[in-house]
Amino acid sequence: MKHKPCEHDGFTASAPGQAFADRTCTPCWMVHNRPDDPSVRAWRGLPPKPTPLPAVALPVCSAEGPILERCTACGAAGELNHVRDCSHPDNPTERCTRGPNNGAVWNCTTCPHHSARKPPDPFEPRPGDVPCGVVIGAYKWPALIDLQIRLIRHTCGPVPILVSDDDPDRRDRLAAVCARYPDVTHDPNPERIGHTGGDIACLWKGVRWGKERGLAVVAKLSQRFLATRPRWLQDGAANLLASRLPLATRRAITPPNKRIPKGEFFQLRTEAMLLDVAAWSNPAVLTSILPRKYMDGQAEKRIAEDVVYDTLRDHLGGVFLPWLLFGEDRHVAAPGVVWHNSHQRPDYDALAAVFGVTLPADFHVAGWGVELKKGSYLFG
Amino acid sequence: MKFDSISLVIATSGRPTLARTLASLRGQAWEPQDEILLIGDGPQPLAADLWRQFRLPGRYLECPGGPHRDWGHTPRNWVLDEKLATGDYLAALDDDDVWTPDALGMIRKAIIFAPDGGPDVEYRPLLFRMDCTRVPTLEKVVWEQPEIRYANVGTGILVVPNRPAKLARYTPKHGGDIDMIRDTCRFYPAGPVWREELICVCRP
Repeated sequence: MKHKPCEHDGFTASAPGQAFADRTCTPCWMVHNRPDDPSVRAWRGLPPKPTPLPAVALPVCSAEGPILERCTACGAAGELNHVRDCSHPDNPTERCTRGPNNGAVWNCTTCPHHSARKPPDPFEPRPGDVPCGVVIGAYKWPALIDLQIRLIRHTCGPVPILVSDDDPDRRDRLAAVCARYPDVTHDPNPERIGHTGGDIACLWKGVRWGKERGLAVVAKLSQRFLATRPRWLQDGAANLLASRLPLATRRAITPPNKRIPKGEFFQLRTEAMLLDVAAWSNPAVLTSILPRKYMDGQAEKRIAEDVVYDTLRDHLGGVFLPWLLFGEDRHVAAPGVVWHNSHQRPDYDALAAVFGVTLPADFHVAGWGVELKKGSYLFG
Repeated sequence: MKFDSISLVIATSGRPTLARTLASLRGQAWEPQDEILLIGDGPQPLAADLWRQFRLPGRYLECPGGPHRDWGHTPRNWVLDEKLATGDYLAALDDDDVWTPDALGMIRKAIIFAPDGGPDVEYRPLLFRMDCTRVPTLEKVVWEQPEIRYANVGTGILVVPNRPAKLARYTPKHGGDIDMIRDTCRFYPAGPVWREELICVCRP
């Protein structure tokens, strides 16, 4: 195994399989015996291994036949690009496919008859479940919204979903995704707002939509925040109402580390929040989260975390319920959640495959630097 | 001069209802020597974070060895065993109950005007009233009669002098708080003072 030369610093060199002793050189021992440890991979210049998702597996589809060809358009690797024969009686194409994929070969894993591939829905409604829904902010990747919708329906049942679209360039594609599902509303912004304002618009729309729909609690999700725990919405909503607080989320704290030398601190995380619709349906509150730009062209630049926290502090009592679905460190994986700061692209692909979705080649888990360079990103 | 500082002990298993319990303590007439001891039954991240946000006087502590899941009896006994409370009087509240808006003011007034227990200026336990009308098995305000028995007294109604030698322990069973109230009051020959003020609401 190649690794950086080690001078052992007075300790004893180690070999594979050797037991660790008092004087063993720790870096050498780690390289030989713990090759997948994140620190070893970092020494070797490799990215961390994708976080395993024990709940996610690819069950075999009973209608699935042999591989006929491979998708040439989706850019997916391995299992994801297989186009198979399909013996499902409702599938006239006899191929495990959904539809034209940019004019190329159709993609096996998005087959609408492929329900056997998806694990059985773990969601079970319970008496007393409060009416609740989800609002998702959308930009750039309609397939990711497709995955979100499938995952929400899988974990939380047929709850209403609002998709707040801040991407005029892909409006039709996103509208088509939403139209495929019952009770999914596509709500485009009249013009592009950008990241921060788009996030806040999502909040504003979610509260108003929730009130119109008679929902007690609305969850606001960022598009790359995927919750895989069954009943996360219903259980979170019940806890929020029991607390009589207006909001559930977590604080955002990342201690200084190699990758983020200054660390991170925000009063709250905005990528996943539960909102008590009655508390937020107040003119003063809604005015403070109006859909507009908060970072671009404003004398006062405010990030989304500050806009939400200021609203909470000034109008809603200043206290939120800690939502224990996820932790305070955005960069540490929480069981039951896939999030772009704590997971890698293969984690998203694995989950997408379970739900018959292929994420596009340009999907990524990084920040928006690439889009910014191309001029397609707006701070909003 | 009478000593009237109060330590309020809340044992919590991290239920979300703790938020409304803590919310009810905001705006009470806290004085500098008063304190709230929020005791997690083992590590309770929800309770710790709520405590940080509510900014109330006192401390958040975690009872070692938890969660014990015994209605908060072990965490409250731990406070007594370790003599963690510094107030002249001890009060307690469950994490799904709330204080009424001026509960602390009423308690302090009752302490200041409470009858003396004897020449050693030792005051007597006070037993206030608690609204249990929303508790399906009770649906009434307790205490109804001035007697210590099940369904007539509860954790939230006792305010007792913080004298370690005269504090009984919560017994490890449902209703263990009744035993604690009864056994503590036995240390006082004159018995408790039965107060009419409603200081808390059970499961509002």
